[in-house]
Amino acid sequence: MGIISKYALLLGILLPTLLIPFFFIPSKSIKKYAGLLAMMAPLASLGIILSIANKVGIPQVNFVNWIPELGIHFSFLIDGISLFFSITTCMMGALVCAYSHYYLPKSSPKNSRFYAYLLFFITAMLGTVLSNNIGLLIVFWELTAIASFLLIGFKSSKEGSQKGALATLITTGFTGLCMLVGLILLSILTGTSELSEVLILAPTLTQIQPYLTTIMVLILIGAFGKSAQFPFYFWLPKAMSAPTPVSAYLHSAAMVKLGIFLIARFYPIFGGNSLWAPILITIGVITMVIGAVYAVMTHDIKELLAYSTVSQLGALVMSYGLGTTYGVEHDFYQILNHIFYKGALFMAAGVAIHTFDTQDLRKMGGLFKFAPIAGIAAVISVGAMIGFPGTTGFISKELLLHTILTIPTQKENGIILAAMLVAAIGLVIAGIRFLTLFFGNLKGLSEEHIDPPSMGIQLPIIIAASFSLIFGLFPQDAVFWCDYLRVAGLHYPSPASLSIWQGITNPLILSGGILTVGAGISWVLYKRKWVDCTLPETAKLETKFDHLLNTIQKISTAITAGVKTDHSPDYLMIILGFIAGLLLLILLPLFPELILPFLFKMDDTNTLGSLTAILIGGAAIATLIAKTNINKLIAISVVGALISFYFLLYHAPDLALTNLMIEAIGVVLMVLLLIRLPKEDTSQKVDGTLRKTANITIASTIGVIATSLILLMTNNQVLDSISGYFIEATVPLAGGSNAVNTILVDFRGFDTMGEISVLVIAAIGVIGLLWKKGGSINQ
Amino acid sequence: MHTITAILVGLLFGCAIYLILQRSFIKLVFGFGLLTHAVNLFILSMSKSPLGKSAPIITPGNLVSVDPLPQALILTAIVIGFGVTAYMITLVYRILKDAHDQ
Amino acid sequence: MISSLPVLPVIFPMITAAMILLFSEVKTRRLIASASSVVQVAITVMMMLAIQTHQILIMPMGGWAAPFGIMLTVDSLSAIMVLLTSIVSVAVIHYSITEKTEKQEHPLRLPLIFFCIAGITLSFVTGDLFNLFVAFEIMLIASYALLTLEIDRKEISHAYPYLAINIIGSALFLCAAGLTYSLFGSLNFADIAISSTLIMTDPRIVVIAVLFTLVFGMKAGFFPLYYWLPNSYPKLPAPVGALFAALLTKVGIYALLRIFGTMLPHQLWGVYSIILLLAIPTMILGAVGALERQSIREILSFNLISHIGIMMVAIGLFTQESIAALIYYIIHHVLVIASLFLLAGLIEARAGSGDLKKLGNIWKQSPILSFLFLIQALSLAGIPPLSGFWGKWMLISEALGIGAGVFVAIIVITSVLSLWSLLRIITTGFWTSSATTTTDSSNHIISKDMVAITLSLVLLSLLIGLSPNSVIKTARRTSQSLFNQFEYTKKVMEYRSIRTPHYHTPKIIESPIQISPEPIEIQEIEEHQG
Repeated sequence: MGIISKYALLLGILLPTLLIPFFFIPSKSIKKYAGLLAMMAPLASLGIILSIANKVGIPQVNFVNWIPELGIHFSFLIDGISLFFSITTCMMGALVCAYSHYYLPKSSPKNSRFYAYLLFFITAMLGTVLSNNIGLLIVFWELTAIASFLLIGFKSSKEGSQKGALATLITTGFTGLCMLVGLILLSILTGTSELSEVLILAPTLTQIQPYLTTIMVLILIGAFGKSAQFPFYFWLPKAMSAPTPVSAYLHSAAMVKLGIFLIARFYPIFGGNSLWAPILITIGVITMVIGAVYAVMTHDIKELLAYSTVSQLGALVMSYGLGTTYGVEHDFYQILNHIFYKGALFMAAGVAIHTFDTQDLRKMGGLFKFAPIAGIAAVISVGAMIGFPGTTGFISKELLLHTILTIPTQKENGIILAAMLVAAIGLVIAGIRFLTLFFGNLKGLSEEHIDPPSMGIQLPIIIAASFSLIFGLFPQDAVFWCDYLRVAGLHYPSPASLSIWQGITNPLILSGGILTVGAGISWVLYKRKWVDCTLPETAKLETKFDHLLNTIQKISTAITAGVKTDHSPDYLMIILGFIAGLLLLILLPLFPELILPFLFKMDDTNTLGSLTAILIGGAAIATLIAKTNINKLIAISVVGALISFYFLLYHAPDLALTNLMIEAIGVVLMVLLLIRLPKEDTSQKVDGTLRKTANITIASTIGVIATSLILLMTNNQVLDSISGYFIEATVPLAGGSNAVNTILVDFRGFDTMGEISVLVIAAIGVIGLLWKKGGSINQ
Repeated sequence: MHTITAILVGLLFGCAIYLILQRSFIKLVFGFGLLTHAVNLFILSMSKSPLGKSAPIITPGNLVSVDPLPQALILTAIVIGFGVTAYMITLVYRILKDAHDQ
Repeated sequence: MISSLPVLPVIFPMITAAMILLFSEVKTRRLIASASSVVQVAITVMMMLAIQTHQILIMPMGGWAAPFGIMLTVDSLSAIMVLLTSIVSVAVIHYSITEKTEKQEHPLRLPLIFFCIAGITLSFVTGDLFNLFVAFEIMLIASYALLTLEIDRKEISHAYPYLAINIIGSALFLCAAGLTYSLFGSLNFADIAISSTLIMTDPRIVVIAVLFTLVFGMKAGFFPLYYWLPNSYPKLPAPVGALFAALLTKVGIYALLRIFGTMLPHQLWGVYSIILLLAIPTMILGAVGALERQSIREILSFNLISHIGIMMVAIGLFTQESIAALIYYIIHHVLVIASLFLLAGLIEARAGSGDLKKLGNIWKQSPILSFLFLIQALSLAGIPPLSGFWGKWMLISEALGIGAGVFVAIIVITSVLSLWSLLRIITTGFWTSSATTTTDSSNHIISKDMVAITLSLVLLSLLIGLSPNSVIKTARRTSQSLFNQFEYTKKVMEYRSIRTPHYHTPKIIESPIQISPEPIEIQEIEEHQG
């Protein structure tokens, strides 16, 4: 049983992805029932996972080797957190698959791809929450981002989809990388890559406290990015261009919960850190308020839901911040609350969008008559969102208010409470506004044109909503199950009991107040036809992000403008200048004695040599000064000829001969070039003085460096050279008395073979250049 | 003579680089021509002063010979350089011809 | 057989090139080319296997042993590079064969590609500094010829920067080689390694190191020497572009590794720091440049530069693990870049242009191509579980481990920018439907063969990505052997051939070179700390 279960968990996680090829089989029945088939996958995975899970309380580790060299393995941890998230992921996934079955156009060829991406996402999600290995966690984390990218961009030709997908991946990519760095640091410092071992070590980690704070911040950045916290929240509204099932699943129930998952996972390790609570509370509060405010100030139904998700996630983050060193309680309950009501709301919105073919709230209304089941579900879910008694939302809000009111008094408590109230009121308004979809007069379409949503599409919605109702009415049952999934270090050993009625408590009064105020404001706005609900584009962080992207692109254009020049001398100036500068930088500090004294080391002089050298120098300078090309050519030929003579002075007869020959051929080639050219050198451009000075500086610097290098390296020679061997061996071993020749053809003959190849290739290159298309091949 | 060579090499490099930095294809070609000579002489100077030594043809009774290895290297470099130069000249021809033809 | 293995992958392409030139019948030429490239893979695989048992393959050319003759020395690093070359070559050549009809193929392209491969391979197997120069020249002149062979009339002036900069590089190489000879008295890597231990504190070694950094930096694409790259690579025909992008820059990195790892002492911290400093603008400007461009291959070229920057960080940190990360990264990078350039070629052929605005709805038209491109682009950007991620993981882990946090931060930023630039291709290019209809002029027909060839490259890098353990192990072992200078030098210097039966030890000079020095006696190679 051991071996099977060893691979069974991996199989369970990979199962959805492994089923992908089935969706591409061209069979009519598969295409017809695609969604329902897809639904089986997460349920099957869940079944496998649950069957492997032992009594929770004792975490299990499941291990399959992968990359021993890096310490990254398929290692999974089954404990309360991972089970909780697995269950919610799979169940919501199944609901969304069923929903998609009715939502997507029937039997469209693109559907296979949709389910492929969706199943891929489920695998990635399961892998992330179940992962016990730090590297594995990162792998699956990034895979969820990829899946999200593909799903958001599913309707690829829409510009919104493109931007949304891009923004999502860049933001979560960046934050993911920060998390990567933090996690690698953690594994280096703790000496292990297995989370279970790190968690065991948690109490002893105080020794590495300063690093721990950095690690914590980095990991939290990753969490905030994924869970759309400030300042990374802007990608979530942009991601709303995805098909609604995607929004219902990834962007409310699954992927955005990963940040929360991360916080919960690492709570035992960082809970005691002095910055943990402040960061979580601050970011959570800011996000909570911003989300709620923006949710009110939009007319787009999906944007409303997106921002309310942001707000709710902020509240969750805040509640983790408000936990004590013993942990938190009922966090699972709160997460559960949000998953089901938000998922239901998105799905209901999808029904409306489908029917009315718009996302603008002002143009939709009165859907209840045609989709009563969805309507009821919407009412329940909105109830959960605003905190109406009888729903999980109510209990959740009560819990939160209770926690806030009972934190030891500091001056910030008031701010937190005020923020909570503002956010809650905002959510009430948003929730009531949502209900206008279903109630009120029929807008947008006339009765005949409405295509009533099918029963099938409404079923998943009511199922999801019913959870909110059931666990809202009988919270203690939910608590029982959540307690079953309790995790040491994160949760109180025995959580307080939950019930709807706890007496007239402060939280109850506040809840009542929130509902009343919210309802009142909604009434006012409703009377004014919701006109005030618009936010200027400039205030949104999304637009700021767009601006940021544009600015970066403008900077890149500016920077790379230099590269675009067609003038090679510009590059050459930079490159040669750089070479000169760098060498100067190296030489000056190391060998300061170089600068002057070498001039005085003229111990050996040869009159002929000096004379020739002067002539060569003169000819070289003549090349510079000469006005016409022909004069330049003459000057350079003089240089070449004189250098051949110089070679002779160096006792290098072969060199002199070869040089002369090559020089001659070179001159011939140059003459050919000059003859065939137009008289005017059209590529000639006049240089300004600044450029001239720069050129002279660079050229002279390089010249001086060259001289210095020669003198530097050749004087003060320490090591023996191999040429002694050549001189000694050339006659006896190589059979020739000309040492240079024997080196060329025998000792280092391989080089000569290379140089001949170069000539051949050059010839081919020349032929290629002179080739006229359609001409005859000259072999 | 070694020092003289060193100074000469520096001068040649300077002239070569200056020509290369000019914004004209023809001058670039001349610059590379000078550069080839400069580099060849540079390598030759690695064998230090030739005074008092003989050519690298080893017969009994010769004086100390100059270092044959740099000479062999230079020969290889000259040939390779020639290949590249020939190609480069053809390229310049082609570029200027195309520009003219348009 | 084993003893002549080192030279086989060098002369075999050369002979192939010559044979291709001899035949005028296109079918024969293609057959020769195809067969040759496959045999080349076999040879390099044999070489890899031989390395497992022999650690280093040594072949004295002409029978003259080190340090007097030219030795070909193939250690683990060389074998890996040569294997990569042959894999990329076989893909490129088959792509080239299937790309054009028999009439359209330029008869000089295939021979030049083989000459180029010969030059590249020689650079990897040689153990001699001047021979390395010759190898570079073979490679360079072949690349010059390839660059201008099929280039557009209007674009031909873009060839000039490539030529000019590389000629300067060659000149610099010659000077550096000459100076090395002057300082160390030898041109053989192993011999210089031993000699350098005798003069380890001589600051002139730093000068030589810097010179070589400049030379190979020009080849690899270091800032600010990389200007030739983005202006020339996008203009090449797709298979040639893939060859250049995948291999030519890596030759520069390899040469740097060889010089710093095998030839010079491992303590040139000043020079390593220079490389680290230059890595920063390389990474950032590469990524930033990629953001600005509008054509697929230009974006890829700038990403190439950016990733060279990341490799520079690995070199600059100069620890055994960072070099291991570098070697893994090279393996990953060669395969991914080659496949990306080939894919870009396919996409451009399908869409008629590489301009992002003109791509039309490639995502819908060619879903397979787009998907392959997406996978490889994500691999390049370093998304797990693709091959690029593991290299980044290794490098970041090592950098964090030795406290180089700044570079980690810059690598993170670069990765995000790089990801962005590559995703832009997908979102702005593939997903947008352009107003104009595409492919009216479909003289570029994409055959299934071309897709299949590219697919195999993608599958190979996918395989490495999903199961990187053996590659990482190899990379680590290779890095270890690279750092073990003593083993290398010992094996090379102790290799005796019939013609050179005596040992040679570098000596401190006592007297100038004489015509008849004392006979060289057999001495033991000095023990020294590596």
